[in-house]
Amino acid sequence: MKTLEILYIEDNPSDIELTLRALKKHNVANSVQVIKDGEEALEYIFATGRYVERNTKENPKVILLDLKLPKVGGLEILKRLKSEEQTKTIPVVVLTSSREEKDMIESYEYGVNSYVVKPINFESFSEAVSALGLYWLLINESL
Amino acid sequence: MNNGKNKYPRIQTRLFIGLFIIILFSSIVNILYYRDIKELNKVTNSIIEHPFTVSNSVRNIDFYINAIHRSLKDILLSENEIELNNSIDLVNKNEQQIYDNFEIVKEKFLGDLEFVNDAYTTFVNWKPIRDEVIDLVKNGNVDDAAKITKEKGNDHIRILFQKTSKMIDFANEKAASFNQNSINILLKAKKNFFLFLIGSSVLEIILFLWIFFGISNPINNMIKRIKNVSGDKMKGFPKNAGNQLAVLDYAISQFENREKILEEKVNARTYELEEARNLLESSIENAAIGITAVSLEGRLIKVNNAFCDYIGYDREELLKMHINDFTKEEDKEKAAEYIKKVIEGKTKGKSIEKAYIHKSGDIIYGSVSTSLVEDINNQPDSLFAQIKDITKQKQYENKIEEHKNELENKISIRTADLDNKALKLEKSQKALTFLLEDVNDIKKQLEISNSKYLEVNKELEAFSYSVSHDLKAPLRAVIGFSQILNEDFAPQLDPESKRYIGLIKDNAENMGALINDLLSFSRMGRTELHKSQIDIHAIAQRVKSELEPDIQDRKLTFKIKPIPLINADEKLMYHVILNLISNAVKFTGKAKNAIVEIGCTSQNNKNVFYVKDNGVGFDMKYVRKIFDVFQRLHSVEEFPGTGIGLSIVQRIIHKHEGKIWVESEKNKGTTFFFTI
Repeated sequence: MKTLEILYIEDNPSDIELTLRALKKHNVANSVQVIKDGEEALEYIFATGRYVERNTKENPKVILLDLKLPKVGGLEILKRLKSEEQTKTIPVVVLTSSREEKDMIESYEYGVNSYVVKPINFESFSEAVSALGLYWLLINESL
Repeated sequence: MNNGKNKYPRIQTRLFIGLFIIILFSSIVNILYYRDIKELNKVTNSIIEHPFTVSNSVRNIDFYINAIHRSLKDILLSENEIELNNSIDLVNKNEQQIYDNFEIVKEKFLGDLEFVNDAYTTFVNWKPIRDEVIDLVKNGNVDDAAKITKEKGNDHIRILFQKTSKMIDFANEKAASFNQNSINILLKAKKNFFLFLIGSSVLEIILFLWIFFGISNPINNMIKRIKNVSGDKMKGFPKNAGNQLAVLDYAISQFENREKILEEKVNARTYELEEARNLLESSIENAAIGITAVSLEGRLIKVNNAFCDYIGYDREELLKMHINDFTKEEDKEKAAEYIKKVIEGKTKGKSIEKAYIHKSGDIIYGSVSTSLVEDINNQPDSLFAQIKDITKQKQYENKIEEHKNELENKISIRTADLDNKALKLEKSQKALTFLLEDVNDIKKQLEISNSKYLEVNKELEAFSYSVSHDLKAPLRAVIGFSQILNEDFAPQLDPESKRYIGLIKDNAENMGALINDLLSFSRMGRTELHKSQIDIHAIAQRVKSELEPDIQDRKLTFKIKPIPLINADEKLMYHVILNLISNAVKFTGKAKNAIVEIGCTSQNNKNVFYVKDNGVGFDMKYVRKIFDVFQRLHSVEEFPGTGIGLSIVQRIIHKHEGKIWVESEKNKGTTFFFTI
């Protein structure tokens, strides 16, 4: 697939590998862009810095976002995404290990589309990720 | 003035002494004067009595002699018998007069009487001459008679006159002498009078000065002192030109006023002080903090209500006690040292923490701040101590310490279980250790001050946030990759390898459950209570229906009895009920006819809720451990679990200021009780 479908922002390599494997099972792994820190993610989304030449018309169809990221946190990215006209329509699925209510409430306040607490068990995790990713992917595509 | 009173006579005494001296002095002078006048009188009398009388009589004698002399001539010239007889009679009469006068002179004459007798003899000798003349005349011999008269008679009279004149001279001389005498007396009296005048004047001046200074000096001093004392305060002070006694009188009245005002002020101030003292007493009495006054020897002098409540003894008991009577043995020396330092003034408001023995025998903790009370001579008098109840804080600290130790122990055990198969896991273990060190730090901060509690809370939040993120990720990796191994490399793996992979996965999953439980345990401590009227009965029903799918194949009876509504946090109470019922279900796993009963009884007018089962139970000697974190009384193979559930339950109950306890008997069953 040529067009980018999923932007996956996550710094933990194990989680990345496991998630990509789960996505691969559903044949979407080829169109996944993985970015490992918050600052870079913002540059990518808004086509600045390292990604200044990126075509902003081709936004990802869904963003999988971890909350705990180096440099710029996931909540900050979510806030920026949902406050900009050009990006606020992109569905964002927050993936986090945190069960803290605070994070959850804040995420919904900023306009998150889904919130997934990463289970310890890999199977349920990959199922959750794939299902949600696909769900939003399909929704977005049909729009 | 007190000294003066002893040194000098009083003014009244001075006046009496002055008056007495003047009377005495004038009396003496009067006596002297009277004596002089009496003497003068006597002298004057003498002059009149003697020289004057003598002189008078002698002149009379001279007069009568001349008369006789003339009568004698008449006799010579008489022409008849009648004339002659008349003249003779006259001569006789005059002679008689002369005799009489001589008698007076003789009596009064002060000089030699020879003078008088001589003159008298001379006069007596005249008589024969006179008789001769008369006889001659009678006989008619007038010529002879005339001749005798002329010769003898005249001579005789001349001699007589000479003698009388001598007497007059003597009398005059005597009178002059008396006169001089009286003049001398008068002069002496004048001189005495003059001396008296000077003497009395001097004496009066001295007395006046004596009395004057006796009065004026003290008065002037008094006025000076009054002015010094009063300064500007005494308004309308009369001018100094006025009567000083009036000034004194005014000053005294002013002082009376001032004293009155002062007295009123003192009364007002006394009242204020009394009020302030009462306020202080009542603030001390009703202070939330324990306050005591202690003698330097450590005996209690005063205690307030808060302290009585705190230590458990009533006031009468405490006032007979020494602080050592309720100080924990180990802290006695520390307390004595502290008091010594306070008395020496070396503590500067520092406080100490010490342990007391409550009347009930419980150990309670207090933060004691003691200050020294000095008496008016700046000598140490007593001690004033404030005792803050830090028992809960201490218990909390102890609990944290305990939990920390438990955590450390358990985590190291679990770490050993996981072996070193997962490198990441080790790292996270280290992270946990670091985080535990953070907990340690937080604990220290808690010790420093309660005000830092919120800060600590924040750090705890950050801690659990990190735990939830960072600890779970590696576990997920361990489980995930184990899974992948199983999925992708199954053909290459022998059964033993597969078993090991299974163990790794199980342990990691166990660790995940532990972390989740730990997180909710820690979250429970920080969650604020949102109380409302809740229905435990309904919650129990809900839990039952949630658990039912897992126990379909078991023979288990739920008995949910009627339970009154209570005021508590619904979410947390759900957790309590879920935990207790799950426990009951879990530990009745081996019973043939399992019964789990939830209900409420009443003890001492308090609702006591219970969850009862007829499961395996436990030995009551382990009862104290059951609520400890990670504490398990059964092996994991027997009954799975993390050992945190009951700790969370206890924490929730304590947060509601309730109590939880348990009764159990091995192989008979267990009952958990709690109050809210």
